[in-house]
Amino acid sequence: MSLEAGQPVVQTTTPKELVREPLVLNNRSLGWITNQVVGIIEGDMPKWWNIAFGVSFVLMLMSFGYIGYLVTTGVGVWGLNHPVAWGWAIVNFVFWIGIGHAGTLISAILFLLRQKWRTSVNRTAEAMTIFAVICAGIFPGIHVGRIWLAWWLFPLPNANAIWPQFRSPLLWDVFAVSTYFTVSLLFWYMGLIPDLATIRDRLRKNAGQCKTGLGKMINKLKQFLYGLFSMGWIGSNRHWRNYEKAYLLLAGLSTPLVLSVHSIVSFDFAVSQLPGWHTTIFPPYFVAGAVFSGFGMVLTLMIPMRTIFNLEEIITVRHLELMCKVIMATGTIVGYAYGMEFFIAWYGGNPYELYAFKNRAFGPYWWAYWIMISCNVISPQLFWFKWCRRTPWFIFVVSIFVNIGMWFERFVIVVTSLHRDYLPSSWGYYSPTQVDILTFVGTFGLFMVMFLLFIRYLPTITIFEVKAVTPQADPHTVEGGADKVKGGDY
Amino acid sequence: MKAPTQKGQVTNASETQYWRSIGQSIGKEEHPDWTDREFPEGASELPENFSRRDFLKLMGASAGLAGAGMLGVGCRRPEEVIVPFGSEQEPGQDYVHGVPMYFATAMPTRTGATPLLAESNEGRPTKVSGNPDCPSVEGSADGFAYASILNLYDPDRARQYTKNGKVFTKRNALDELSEMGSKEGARTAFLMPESTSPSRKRLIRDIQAKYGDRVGFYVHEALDFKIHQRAATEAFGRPIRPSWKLAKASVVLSLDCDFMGAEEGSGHYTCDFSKTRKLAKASDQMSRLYSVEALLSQTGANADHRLRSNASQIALVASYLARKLGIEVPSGSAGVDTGLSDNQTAWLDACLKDLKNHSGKGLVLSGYRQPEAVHILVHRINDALGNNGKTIEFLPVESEETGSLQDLANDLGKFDRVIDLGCNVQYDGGASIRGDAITQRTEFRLTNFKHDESHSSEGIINAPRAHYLESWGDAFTSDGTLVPVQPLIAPLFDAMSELEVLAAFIAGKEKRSTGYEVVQSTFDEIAPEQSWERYLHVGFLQDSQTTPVTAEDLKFSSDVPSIEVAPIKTGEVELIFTRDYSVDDGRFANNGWCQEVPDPITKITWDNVISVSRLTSEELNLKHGEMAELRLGEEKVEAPVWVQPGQADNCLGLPLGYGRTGKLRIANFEYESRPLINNEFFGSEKIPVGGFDFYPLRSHPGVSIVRGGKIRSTGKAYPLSSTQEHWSMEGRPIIREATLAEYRKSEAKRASEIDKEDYNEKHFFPDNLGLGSHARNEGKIYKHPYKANPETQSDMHQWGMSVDLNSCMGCNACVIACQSENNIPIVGKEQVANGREMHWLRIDRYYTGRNHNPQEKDPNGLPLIKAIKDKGQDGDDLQHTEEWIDDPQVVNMPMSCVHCESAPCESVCPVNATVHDAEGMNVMAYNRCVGTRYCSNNCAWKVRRFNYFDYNKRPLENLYDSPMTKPSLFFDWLGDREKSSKDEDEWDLLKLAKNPQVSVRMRGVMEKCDYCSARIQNAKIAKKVKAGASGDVMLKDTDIKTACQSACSADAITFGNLLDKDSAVVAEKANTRTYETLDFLDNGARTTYLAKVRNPNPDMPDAYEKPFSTKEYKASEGHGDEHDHHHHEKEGGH
Repeated sequence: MSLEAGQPVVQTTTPKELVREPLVLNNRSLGWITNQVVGIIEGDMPKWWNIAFGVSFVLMLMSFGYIGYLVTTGVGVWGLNHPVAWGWAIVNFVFWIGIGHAGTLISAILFLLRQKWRTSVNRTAEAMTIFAVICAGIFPGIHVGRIWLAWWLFPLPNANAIWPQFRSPLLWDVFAVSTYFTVSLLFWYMGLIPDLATIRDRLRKNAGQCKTGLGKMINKLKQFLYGLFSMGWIGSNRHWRNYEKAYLLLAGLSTPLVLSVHSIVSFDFAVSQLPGWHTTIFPPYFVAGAVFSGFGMVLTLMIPMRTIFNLEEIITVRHLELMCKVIMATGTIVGYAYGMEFFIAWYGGNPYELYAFKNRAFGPYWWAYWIMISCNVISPQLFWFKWCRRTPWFIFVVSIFVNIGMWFERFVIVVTSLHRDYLPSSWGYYSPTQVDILTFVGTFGLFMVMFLLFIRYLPTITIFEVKAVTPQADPHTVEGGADKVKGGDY
Repeated sequence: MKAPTQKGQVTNASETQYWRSIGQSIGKEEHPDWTDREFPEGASELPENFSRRDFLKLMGASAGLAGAGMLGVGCRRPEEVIVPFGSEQEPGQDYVHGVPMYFATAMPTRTGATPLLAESNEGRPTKVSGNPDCPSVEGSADGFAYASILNLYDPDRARQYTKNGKVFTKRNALDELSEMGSKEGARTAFLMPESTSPSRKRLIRDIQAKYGDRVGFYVHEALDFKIHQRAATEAFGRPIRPSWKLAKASVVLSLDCDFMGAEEGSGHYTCDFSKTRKLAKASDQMSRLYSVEALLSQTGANADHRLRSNASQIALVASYLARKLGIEVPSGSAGVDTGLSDNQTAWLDACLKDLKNHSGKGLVLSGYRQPEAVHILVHRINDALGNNGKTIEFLPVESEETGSLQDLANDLGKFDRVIDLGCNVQYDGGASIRGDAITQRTEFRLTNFKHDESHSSEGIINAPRAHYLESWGDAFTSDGTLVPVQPLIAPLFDAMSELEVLAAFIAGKEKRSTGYEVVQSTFDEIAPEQSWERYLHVGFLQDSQTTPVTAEDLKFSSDVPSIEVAPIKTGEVELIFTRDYSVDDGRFANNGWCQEVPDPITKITWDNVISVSRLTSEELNLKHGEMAELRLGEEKVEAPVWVQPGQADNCLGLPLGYGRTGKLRIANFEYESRPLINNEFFGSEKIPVGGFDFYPLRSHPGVSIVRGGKIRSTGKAYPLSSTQEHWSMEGRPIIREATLAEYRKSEAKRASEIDKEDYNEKHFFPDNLGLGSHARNEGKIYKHPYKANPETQSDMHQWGMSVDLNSCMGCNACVIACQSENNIPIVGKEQVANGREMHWLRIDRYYTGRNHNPQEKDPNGLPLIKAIKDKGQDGDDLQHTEEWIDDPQVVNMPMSCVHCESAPCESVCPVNATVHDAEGMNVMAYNRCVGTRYCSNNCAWKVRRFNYFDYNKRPLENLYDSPMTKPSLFFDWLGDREKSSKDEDEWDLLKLAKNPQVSVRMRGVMEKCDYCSARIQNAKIAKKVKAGASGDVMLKDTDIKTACQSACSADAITFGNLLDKDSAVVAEKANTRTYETLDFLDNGARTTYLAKVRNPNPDMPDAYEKPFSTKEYKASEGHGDEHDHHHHEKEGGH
């Protein structure tokens, strides 16, 4: 096309149509989505599932064994000592709790913000949250010296009128974590109900295909259980109305919890007077770190899952990319916090504080600090490059770094602050024992056992919500006419 | 706790007991058998349900064994009357169940005795402390005395009389002894440890009179503290011994004399010396201590000026000083002036000038390691300085006719048999004396342990040796006061004392006198007019101290000895054998408290090391913490090397007393590899515990300094457990110090500038020195949580403590006394290495450094002191390579819970287990503790101690075992002795040492110093009982003392009621030297410290205008001297 004089350029240029990537690729039908997701549950599990389950199960048992050993022997089987009275147990607790942040953030905050892309990932993320909180909950329970008396942390009325110390952040932890767990579990279960009903209905439909008597019995049992947990859901208008309201309320309830749990966990440190712990920056820094690590773990789990179960069209590269952006943002916040800690240590003029931070970076635990910096600050910056955040295998690698880095962040905070505090006479060094290490490794077994069972028996993707964000769900779209729809994001 | 038994009510549930008490029958024939129910049912008795195994053992043991053995068949009625101490209860007062009784007794030592007050709880001694009434020691005692109580309950103690491996009885043994004595023609040699007992002396005299040449007496000690007496006797030609009057000395020069640590009687010397270091106000006089020594000793660590010198060079130092004083010292062939550097002579000149200026008030001391010639020279130096008869007195002694171990070895052919009264010559006899020849000839021996080095059954009667708390005896203290050794308990295993052996030897079978009779008749002989009851009651014979020889009667009888010391050749090393601060010469090696108490200098536990200076380690290529092989002649020993700050070059420090080879559960132990817990520290190898034996390198007992010897590193790593890994204070104002001149200047300034009414300004002293830069915030943001609720506070008692760092010499006595008082468990080498030691009270020791090069001077012409560079990540691994450690200053700080008013531990405990009480103490409710350990993390002083394992229940080697890995542990838990993994004795014997006033903590529980709250409660009850209707129930200083306070010979610890205006603690806290550690945290510690003051001599070549720690602080904070005040103001608002 040639331009003639006097003719405005604007009129001659057709603006390029900005196309939003669809949330479900290839314009799949609603039925396809159900088949794809529920098919995982209905079919036999592949061989790798059995192997993975076996390995995880053994790891889990190992962890329980080590816990039994710990309980019957004493906390001394860990590497703890006098300056460092908290070690891997607390590191692991904070690590797992942090991971448990992504799920509720995705399902609650993104729900309130009407981020429709959440629908493909929220179910798995929430499941991950719950399992991570279970893993986290083990550690504060077993790290106390007299485990059989850990229930004293609960404010139970008793004849001696002894109450817990309400000024102690450890007590706040008990409340924060248990509330978070309860609400997350309810929220997750709420969201599962319509999908459980779908499975129940399909089981009834498929009952005829069962050839053997055993198969029929299993089918009946499943029908009963799925039926029980779907609580008589029939998808009526009234059900949906109540559901939507309840879901919104729970989302509203969960949202402050996302922020509060890790703030309170950070108080375990910030409330103390230990240089390196006693820092006002901790609550926001911990929350950002938790979201960072949570998204890291979501990606670690989802990237293999979407490939294995052919869910690439539902959990698309766009989803991954969006999560990478969250990682980059929170990783940058965390990096800023690391820098700010140093600045304040210098600016505050407290020599003990300054020493604590110098010691972090250049003291005996320098390696932990620099692992943390490279994993948490440097590696997410790669996501500035589009290729990096759109290449699943690459994201997977970075997500592993994020997990490692965030574990080390907690290690650095807990251990390096404790090992050299005020009086040099008490300075020491902490190294974990086998029991520390293998108990922690074993909790991955526990986590994976739960996660694999989740894959096996529950829909990994919120079927009805994903359907709602497909073009077909739009009443104005003619089914089958989807090729006219450019974006799926209504 | 069972309800107290009423007087006279007999609750005799069982006839069998593990132990018998004689404390129960004060002045009565019949006594209630209340001892049965001392523990919860079934714990200490052999009750109805005792097992088959026990029964068989019992039957086996009681074959011809009346009333002996662990199982203590039958409760023997007490035989003698013992008299309780006067200050708590009047004599004859009835026993009240649950109320401890006190008895005066004494711990015999080699050259004297430590008068003690022993606490008896339900008939078993549980704690000792110095006898405060005895004038010769003023209540002082050393750590060994406090630890000695555990030896009584040592599970490895010998328990049976055996002959040729067969069990035997005490009566049989005594019969045999009587036979040995009465047998015509048989010639007997006695081998005995040193003792001052007049009873023993009397018996020996009697035996000698009766048997003449048929008997010989030989005395053996591995360490020769008799040298002081021998040298004085030699110098003055009459049997006398020196007695140092440190309290009267204002300038002290110690020539390798560790009077605060390794010398016997160090407790009393510390007490005396500390009196000259008290500064109630700045104008008070303070003594000055110079020290010339090779190894860094406690005395050197507390010296104002310290000169490093080889141990053999001390002779040169002495002769240099003597010559300067006009004494003609004949020189040997090598000449005398070789070896001392210009630096050293300049130092000595200035020191001598100071001594001369304090004629009659100075004191020069020589240590037990030095040869006789040095001691004699020192007597002459003191004479020339006019000190003899003033700061040093000479006490006449009775001469003795006993031989040495060498004599016995020479005379062995003359005797048919040897009776060994408790020497272990196999272990400590020395290389050139063949201990086994003597052992072979031995027919009777008193033995401490079931299985020690020389344990043998061939033809020997082995008899268990009685502990001093279970046998009668007597002794003379250092000033000659006669003290009784009064037993508190009948011998646990029917053990026998040396007096009983001697008495049996001299008497026939029929009229043998008991230990009691022997001691009583000796007393009657010495003081026929005096009351025996009163003697036992107060624990000493009034006015029995020896009158010193008058100065006029002191005439030198010998010539000035000649001194010849060859200079040390390159590559040659000097071996210095020394008494160990923890285990003495090995006699405390099987005592867990002694093994675990950190060496006051190195802070190493459970092991000894070859200490070496930094330069020598570099020259000889020795690596810190690695094994080295040390050869001397034929003998060789492998031991780990420790680079020790402040040690002289070219010498090796070799602490004796470790490396026992017998079957001793504490002294000789090995950790098994742990397949489950391969801790990085230990790897998977077996790790030995209990150190290394240097005795084989000595030719004879008493040899202390040997030239020669080759040492080379073997490159093998050896794990050492040290309780303090970091040496430097990092420039932090934790221990605050000043010189006397500075202190006086600052006080003068304070007097002119500061309003004395203002409380805060009372802490002016450290501020004015620029040490209070992190001073308390004036305008507080938060309300004081304790003072905010005045209704919760007691208006009668508010407890507080003050520790005078100027008095504390870091001797560890308080640490062991605390351990004994508060049932603090030992945790073993492995756990100490993991940083899990349980001491509630620890002594922090820091080295502060100066620039290595003494040539560099600051503008005032004083040696330049540089800041110590932090070596970052490898700091702890490289500190021994740094130059500043060569001539460090040493500072000590006793540290335990400081009882913050606004305690950081309390607010973080989720279960309210650590709380504040109405009297201002931070208390632990052990029963409530679940063990989150948050309190420990939040404690800035790191004084809280966590029971990582069940230390009180499990033997050290079973700590890591679980019923899952070792099912027998399950039976421990059930209390099933038959199937349990524990040794029989570990069930009960160790429990006897526990203080019933203080709870024993289980695993998973946090514990810490509670200002001895059990003592406070007891004192309150006693006061209330006494007060009656008068209402006078406020405790005064005399009513309550903490265990550490009463243990402190130097009176460094003051505890008391802050509301009592007359209390010592109020006075101490009003001292301007008072400061709070980490005061900027505003925790409001109730334990405060009085800053240390050093008294350097400005004329010395190594003078310093500020202590090194102050210099370090200023350098690390960027404070220049001239900007002090400016910075102080600027940082005041933190």
